[in-house]
Amino acid sequence: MSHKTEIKTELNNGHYLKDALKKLGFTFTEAKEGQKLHTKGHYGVHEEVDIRIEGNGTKNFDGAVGFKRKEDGTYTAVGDFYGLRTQNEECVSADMLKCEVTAHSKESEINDRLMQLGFVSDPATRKETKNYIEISFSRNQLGM
Amino acid sequence: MEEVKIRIDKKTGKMSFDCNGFTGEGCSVIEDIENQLGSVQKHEDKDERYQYEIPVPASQGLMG
Repeated sequence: MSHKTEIKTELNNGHYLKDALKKLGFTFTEAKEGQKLHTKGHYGVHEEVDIRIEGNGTKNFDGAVGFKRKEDGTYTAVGDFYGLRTQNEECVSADMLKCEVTAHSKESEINDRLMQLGFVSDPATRKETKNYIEISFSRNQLGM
Repeated sequence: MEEVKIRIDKKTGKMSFDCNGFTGEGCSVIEDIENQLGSVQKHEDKDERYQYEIPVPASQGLMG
């Protein structure tokens, strides 16, 4: 029985996607130009991907899932999610991975954009729960 | 001091912001913030900035 799962994301920037994976504690391999990279599912799921998640500090991921860039430029999470666990031993679904990676990716993007506008964020005010990430930025008003 | 607070909903992926009292949400949050900040800078310390505080006559607009 195949355990392949594929879920579309709205992410279209590989830089912020990789940044999100790092923040979430994942190690990963990125396909080089012309290189074909495949997931290593335990039940025969070997999907071609552009970014393969190698691990998160546990043995669970082990290259079983990754992200593939589609023709429209967006990334899809794909692979064998069966048996995947977080470092806290919670089950990891494709949807959960998508939500976490999307939120952290957007955080990186907004961080960059607001820094370009002269804002700084205070890490002490950053709040993350299971449902949301909240960040505060500030800057001195121009000319003051 | 200008302050922007961003909230990213993990389930929907949607962002919302509160920028100096102005709030918004949706796909174009970053552009909205930039527009908002742009407008704040543009009208900073200009007389026009305060015109919305001029009392409007109570009868104006009621009868069309």
